[in-house]
Amino acid sequence: MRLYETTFIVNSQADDASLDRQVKAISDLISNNGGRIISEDRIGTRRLAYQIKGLSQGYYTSIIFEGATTLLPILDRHYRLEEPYIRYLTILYEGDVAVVKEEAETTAEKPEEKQVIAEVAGVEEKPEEALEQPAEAPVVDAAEEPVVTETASPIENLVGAPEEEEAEKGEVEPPPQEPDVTRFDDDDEL
Amino acid sequence: MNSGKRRRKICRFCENSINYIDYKDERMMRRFITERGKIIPRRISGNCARHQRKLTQAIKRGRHMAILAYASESFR
Repeated sequence: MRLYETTFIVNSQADDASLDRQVKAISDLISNNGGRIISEDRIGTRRLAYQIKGLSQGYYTSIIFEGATTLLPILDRHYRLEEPYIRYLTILYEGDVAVVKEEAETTAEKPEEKQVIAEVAGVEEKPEEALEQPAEAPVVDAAEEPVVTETASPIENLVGAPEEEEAEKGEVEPPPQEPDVTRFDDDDEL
Repeated sequence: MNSGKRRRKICRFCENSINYIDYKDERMMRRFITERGKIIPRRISGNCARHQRKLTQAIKRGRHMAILAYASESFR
């Protein structure tokens, strides 16, 4: 069992009900195939950096889950066969699990509810084992520094001042840093 | 600007002890790409090898997920 993060984009123009259905389809798929959802983050509608299939907006959802490797091809297949998913990405989650689990505990009812569904579906899901894990796991992870979501902010603050300026300017003229890119004698390592 | 000794840049991720670079964090990644969407090299940004690797991975993932552009015109 490893931790994975799967993020997908569905057409945001669909109505709320079908958006909900599409998101739920994925989370059900995970839990019905022996996975355990740790957190489900509905990022929501945002602008796409480039058009995909003629769309310029998409509804993002990110699910962090624990599952066997056999779950991934199933997930991948589902994404490829079902129309509404315009982009998807499943990666090994390397972030701080402690933070994610804390979040998950606040929304603890959700995974349990899904395990019930898994049982009903008759898939060999062991709810007892799955329920035990949240208790054990945080102990291990707690040792790591509890920073993941907050991580972005310190860097922004520190970096912010000099570079933000540059970014604004950049729209009119190339940022002052840019010329260095092509100069090799600039390399600190040389 | 190009006068002999340059001060050694410090990796901003190390400085803030950041271990995980989230590909969904557009604002953070924006600081390490050019206007055109190119990844800023390590010798400019001052990142350490480890973090530059992670950052590059994150940026590429971000591009796939349409969070960052693969290439953009001179304005956005």
